[in-house]
Amino acid sequence: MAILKATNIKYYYQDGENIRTILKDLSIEFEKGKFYTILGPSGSGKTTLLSLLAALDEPKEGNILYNDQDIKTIGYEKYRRNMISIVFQSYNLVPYMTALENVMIPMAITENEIPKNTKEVAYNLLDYIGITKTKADRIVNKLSGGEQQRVAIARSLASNVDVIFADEPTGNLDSELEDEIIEIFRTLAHEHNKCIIMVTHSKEIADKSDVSFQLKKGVLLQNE
Amino acid sequence: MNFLKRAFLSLVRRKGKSLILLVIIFILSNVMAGSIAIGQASNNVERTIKLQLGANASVEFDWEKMQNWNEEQWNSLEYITPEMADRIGSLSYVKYYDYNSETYINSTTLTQYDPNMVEVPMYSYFPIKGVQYAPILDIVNGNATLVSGRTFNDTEVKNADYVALISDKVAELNNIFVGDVIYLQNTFSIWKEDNTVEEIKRDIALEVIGIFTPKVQQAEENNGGWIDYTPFNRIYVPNGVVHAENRWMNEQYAIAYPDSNIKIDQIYITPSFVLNNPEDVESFRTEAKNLLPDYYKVTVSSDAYDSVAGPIKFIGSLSNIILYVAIGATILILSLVVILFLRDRKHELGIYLSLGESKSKVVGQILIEVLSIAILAISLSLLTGNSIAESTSQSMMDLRNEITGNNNNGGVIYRDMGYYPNNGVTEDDVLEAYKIEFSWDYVLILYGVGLGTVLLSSIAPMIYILRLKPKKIMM
Repeated sequence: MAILKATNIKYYYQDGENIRTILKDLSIEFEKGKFYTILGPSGSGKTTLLSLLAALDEPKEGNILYNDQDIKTIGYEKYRRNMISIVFQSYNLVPYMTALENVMIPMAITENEIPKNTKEVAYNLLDYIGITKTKADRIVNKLSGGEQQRVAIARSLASNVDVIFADEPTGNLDSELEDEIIEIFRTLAHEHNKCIIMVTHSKEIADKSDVSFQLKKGVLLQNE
Repeated sequence: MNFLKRAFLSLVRRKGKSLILLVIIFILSNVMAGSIAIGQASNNVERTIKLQLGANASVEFDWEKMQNWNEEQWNSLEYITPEMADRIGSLSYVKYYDYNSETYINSTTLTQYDPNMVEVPMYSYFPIKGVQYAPILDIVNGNATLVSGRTFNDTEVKNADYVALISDKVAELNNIFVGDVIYLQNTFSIWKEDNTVEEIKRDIALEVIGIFTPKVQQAEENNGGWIDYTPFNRIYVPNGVVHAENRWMNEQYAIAYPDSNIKIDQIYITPSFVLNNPEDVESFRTEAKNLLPDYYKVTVSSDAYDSVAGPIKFIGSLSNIILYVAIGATILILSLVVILFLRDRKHELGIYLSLGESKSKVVGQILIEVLSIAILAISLSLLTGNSIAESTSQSMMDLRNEITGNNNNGGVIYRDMGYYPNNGVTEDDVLEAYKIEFSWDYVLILYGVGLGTVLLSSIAPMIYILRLKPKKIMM
């Protein structure tokens, strides 16, 4: 059963009388326990699609359903707070906080059930993702790019959600680190029953996913 | 890691930015603290001096309203009557009141007090003040002190007994004691066509029942070498005595000039009211005015404040202007600085929003950060603001003196003990009452104004946060 469903999504930019269509009547479904990739060249609309699915923006037409409930009805803020999390290309960590503190931020925001020993949980999450306790107590700016992205992944897990979006999370990393990060996402999908939806322009990454879609000129095609 | 903890972390981890904000708010709140301290001190002066001036009221003609009167209006002029004075005196604001009739009567047997007198004159003139309030208002108010004998009793006032109080100077000069009788002559002079004067005299014998010493301000005694000895030569008698003597004079006038329309029984009184509370002045003025013809006005002793409060009013109004400018500058500078800082933290705010944090909590976090720094800065300026106010006050007074050429030797309120208490207040008294103090009022007002200004300064930054779109920031 699909946890997340987009139906007849349309998105365009209007500049005076000129309309630039980004997404044309797009429909797509995602299930738990699978690692999805959306492949496409720059400007194909894949980041726009991700921002719509993550409720960072609103489609001009169409609906996005989470467990068959319109996310507009749920409320975008509540949806972002309790149902999804996002890993960004540029990590987007709070620069003056430690890795541990960054991971603890969503724990205070989400209304999902979180164990009371939040600090311990955060340490465990970081450890699981490959960040030692010593590094967890460092200010994030002192960590390497790969470590920062791991912290960002740990943060996405902290709010205990089922759907995790990733916007080119390996874009700033070398190929060795890229492999490690992709492996983490695969594990999260397969071993922890998460729905991972990653946007990428890398065919290699797309090949490692369970389901891969290609976005071309606003139209979505499923890769065989 | 809720928004309160995030605010705390931001404050302590971003020390440089916090310090910059602290310094900016500290400087601006010092200006506000100084202005508020000066404003408070000016207000305290007004309160102190007005209390010192007392809550004594009188009724007099409003000459401005009577400037363009026609003959008919003048003929129908209504003088204050004892009944009018009684009606005003019965208002709840009035502690006690009196109304006085006055005249001058000469004497050949009693010498007036004048230390500059070279030889004893043939006639001495004495101001006679009739009173209705038996304990005598001037003595009750402390403008004269009874040194021996007593004041009138109600029966003497009611029966218009020929009893009097004289000053200790006149008593000493004439070797008079309580119980003695003094003699005056009410004299009506008729000027004849051949330039001769016919004098009709009426002897008045007054039993001295008390001796007083008037309170006269030193400043008035030394005012330009001219000294008014009226308070020393004044003789207090019951109103009825003055009325009887004035009536006799009017009768003589009617006989001498039968064509005149003189009203023999016309009496002229000046009422004085002492109020329970100086703060009731304006209410009393309004209600009393309603009981009087519209060409009378009610004057109150504290009205004199304006004439001596020049330097303080100047400082007060200048400090107000500075305060308003400081508030405006704070709002502008702080709004821009906080927005600039927020632009630096745009990604951080975007992270909170993308994690589903409500905008109100993000706004709350920023408000807590700014207010925490503001509270610290304002608390520090509480201490420094007073010192700034003190040094600034002196500079402002110097500036005012430069502008007006005032050297602070003028501005004496001359006041005889007739209508107002003899508590003449000078500009020096006002300056002496000016004190920059560390009071609770000052603390509360500074925190109120300071934090209020900081909150106003936060409006623009908060709008900036509310308009943030996480997609634009994060993707």
